[in-house]
Amino acid sequence: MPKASTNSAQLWSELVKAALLGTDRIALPELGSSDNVGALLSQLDPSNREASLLAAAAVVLLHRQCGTVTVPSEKSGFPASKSDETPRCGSNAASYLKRMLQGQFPHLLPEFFSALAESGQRLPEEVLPDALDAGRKDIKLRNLVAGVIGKRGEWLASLNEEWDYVAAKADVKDWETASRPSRVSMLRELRKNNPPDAIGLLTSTWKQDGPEDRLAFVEELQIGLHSGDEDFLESVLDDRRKEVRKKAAELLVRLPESRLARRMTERARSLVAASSASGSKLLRALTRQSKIQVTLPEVCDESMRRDGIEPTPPQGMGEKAWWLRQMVASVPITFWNDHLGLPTAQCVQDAEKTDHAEVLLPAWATATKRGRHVEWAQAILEYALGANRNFQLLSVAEVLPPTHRDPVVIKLLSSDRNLIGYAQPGFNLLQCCPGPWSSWASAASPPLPIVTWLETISGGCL
Amino acid sequence: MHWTPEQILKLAPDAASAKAAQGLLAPKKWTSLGVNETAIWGACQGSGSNPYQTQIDLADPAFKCSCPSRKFPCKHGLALFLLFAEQPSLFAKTAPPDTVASWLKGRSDRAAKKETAATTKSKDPKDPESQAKTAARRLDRVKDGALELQRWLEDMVRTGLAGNLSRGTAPWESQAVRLVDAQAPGLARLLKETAVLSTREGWQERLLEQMALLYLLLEGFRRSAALPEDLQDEIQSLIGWKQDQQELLQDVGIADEWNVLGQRTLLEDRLQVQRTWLKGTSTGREAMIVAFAYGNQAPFSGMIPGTCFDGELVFFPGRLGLRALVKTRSEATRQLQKLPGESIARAVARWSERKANCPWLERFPFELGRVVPATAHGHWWIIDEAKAELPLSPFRDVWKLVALSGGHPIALFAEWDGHSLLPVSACVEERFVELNA
Repeated sequence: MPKASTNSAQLWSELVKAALLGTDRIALPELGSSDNVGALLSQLDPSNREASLLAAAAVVLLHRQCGTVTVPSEKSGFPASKSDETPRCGSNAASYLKRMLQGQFPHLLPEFFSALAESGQRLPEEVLPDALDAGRKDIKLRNLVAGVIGKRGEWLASLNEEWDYVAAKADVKDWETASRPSRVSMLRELRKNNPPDAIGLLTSTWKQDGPEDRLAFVEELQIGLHSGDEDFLESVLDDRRKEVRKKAAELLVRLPESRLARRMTERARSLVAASSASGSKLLRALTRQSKIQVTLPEVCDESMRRDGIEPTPPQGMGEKAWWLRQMVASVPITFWNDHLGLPTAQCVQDAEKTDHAEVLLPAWATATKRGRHVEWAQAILEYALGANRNFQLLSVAEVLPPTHRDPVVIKLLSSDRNLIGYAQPGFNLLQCCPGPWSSWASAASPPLPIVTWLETISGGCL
Repeated sequence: MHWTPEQILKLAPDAASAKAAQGLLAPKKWTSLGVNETAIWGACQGSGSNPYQTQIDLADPAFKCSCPSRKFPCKHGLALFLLFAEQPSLFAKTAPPDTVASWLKGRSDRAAKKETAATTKSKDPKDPESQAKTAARRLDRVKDGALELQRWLEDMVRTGLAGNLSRGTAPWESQAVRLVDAQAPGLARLLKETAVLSTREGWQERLLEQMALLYLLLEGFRRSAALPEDLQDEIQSLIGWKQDQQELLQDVGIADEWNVLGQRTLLEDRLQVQRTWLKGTSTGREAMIVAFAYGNQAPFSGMIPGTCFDGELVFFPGRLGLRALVKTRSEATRQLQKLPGESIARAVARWSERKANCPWLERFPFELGRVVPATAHGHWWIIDEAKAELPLSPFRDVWKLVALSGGHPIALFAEWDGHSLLPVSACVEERFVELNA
């Protein structure tokens, strides 16, 4: 801090004190002295004490301020960061990134960060604080952010506690004491490399862990989910916290051999069945009679609730239909071909002919995604793109290999009037398809508006 | 000059307009997009049956749109400009349609007329005698107001600032209102700013400092006949006499290549005040351009931080010689790739000299050459290579500054108020970056 001579400093503080307390209560400091400032001050009219105080304050203040000299600092700056070999991304790309970080289309951030990392570029320095903040707020972005901040970003993150996730190399030895975010990242690392060990780690503290912790942990089990997880997850179905129970049920459904999946299959078996043949083939064809017979369940009992069936339907849906839908969605999709004795395409067509198409088809779509079954996905997608344009079912496209999926998405994107919007089916579909989307530029002719837009976003970085 | 989307978005009057504009970027929303040497135009399908006709004169830039929005520029104007910045290939190079052509012609005609009006000595229709009377009446009222303020300040220190402030700042505000009535708006502003200080940390010294400077101003005004003319001018403008800007623009300007070093916008009451800092390449002279806007409109000086333009400035009369008007201005000629740099000691010395010349200097531009940020106990400083340090004002982008520096020296442009430094922009590796407060 700049310093002025001590003499005037003392006079100044005496003047401040006098002004604070008031000249009614306290005498003014001695104003005249032999130096230059004193000579000026001695010209003030002592009979008006208030005027003298204010005028003297002005003189002393200016004398002090204008005499400011700098003194050597005892502070030091930060240790210098290492230099970055990777280039910054272009200014166009940076400008779009800033807009995404400010909240416009934030769900494009993962795509952007991956594209940047793949092209061997990094974020410009001025964007680093906002990007690191984005990672702090959204745990799913962290690895991506850490991949594009370069040496400068790692250096910056090491200076601010809020960004310590960048350097956090969690050690499982600290499992019991670490913070929730670092425990989650420990768990995630373990699940990636050695899934069974994670269960051991989890059970070691599960009883003491709070409900928020348990929820965060059980969510991580979707990485590397395998049949060895079943016993643990089955026990979690009795957890005190509803969200935790629900998540466990959701994961068990994705293990086709699990006891929960078998229980669901048994429940659904009699409710959705091949219809008993009555009348001639011709008559059935004429009356559009379905080969599938659907019966709605009568009750939602305790065991169903334990297996994750939500008793209260969403608005506009009957409760029995809702229960059935959840059950069917939890049955491994391949069960139905044998059970109904029909090929996949036939199952879908006959489902439409039943009175409960709006229950069966979305439930099967969910089961298809859970089982990642290509043949079923193809059948449901064809049906959805047919005359009915049932967009709700389109999301099964995520199961398809890109060669099947991309033409469908491109066609939908080209045919819609609005470029981007949540109501746009193609756009919704795009969100469930893994990137990089930009590679589609060559697949569409003429180029899609959205692809043009994405290319602009990525600017020079692709 | 190529405008970046960020620079364009800064022209938006509010966040909602900026967002709405970005929703209009689909090329499908636009028809008949066109461009010539000076302007761009297009038609945007809105909710009505006829598309809105939007046009931009790129020189200023100036906007016009047929939509009913009261915001300026409206979302269509911003969107058109953004579209041009991002996808110029969508714009056909053609002659402008009639409506655009006549608008552009109207604009250049008005500019020419203004020029002629400026060169022909402004005729004065008013009766000089009554004008002199009005001026004398105002002078009397200001004198009364100034004297009353002097007595009021004396009362404050007689009864003690500590006790007075425990009763809040309402008496300060009503005194400020009386000064507006006395036609001394400058004094009213200074008093209000003084009252605000009483809520800050370390207020005791800052408060006496401001009151002492205010008192010095009043004394200067009382004895102004004995002062040099440039100091008289300075005192008059501080008290609130407005300079006739049209008249000022007729003065001979100072021609130079002006570097736009930074820009800062503050809200004063409902008024947005924007300061733009310039420095001449060959004259080395600093200048501050002030632009105002009320309510929904963004103050718009047309100058983009981080660029340069050729032009003439006219400085306001007065001792300080910082504030100026732009008399003529070319389009921005190039991007700024480095900032002029000096040491902290040199900058402080230059400030001291100006402060000694004119005690009411509020903010002074510091163009620091090679500094690094440092922090301790939640406070921030910058340090230069000679190990001199200056404290930083709290500002939002402090981590951005750290990121840009990486622990290495960078060039920093900042405002110094005698107590702390407020960074405005930085330049590193030939890249100019703005910092927000």
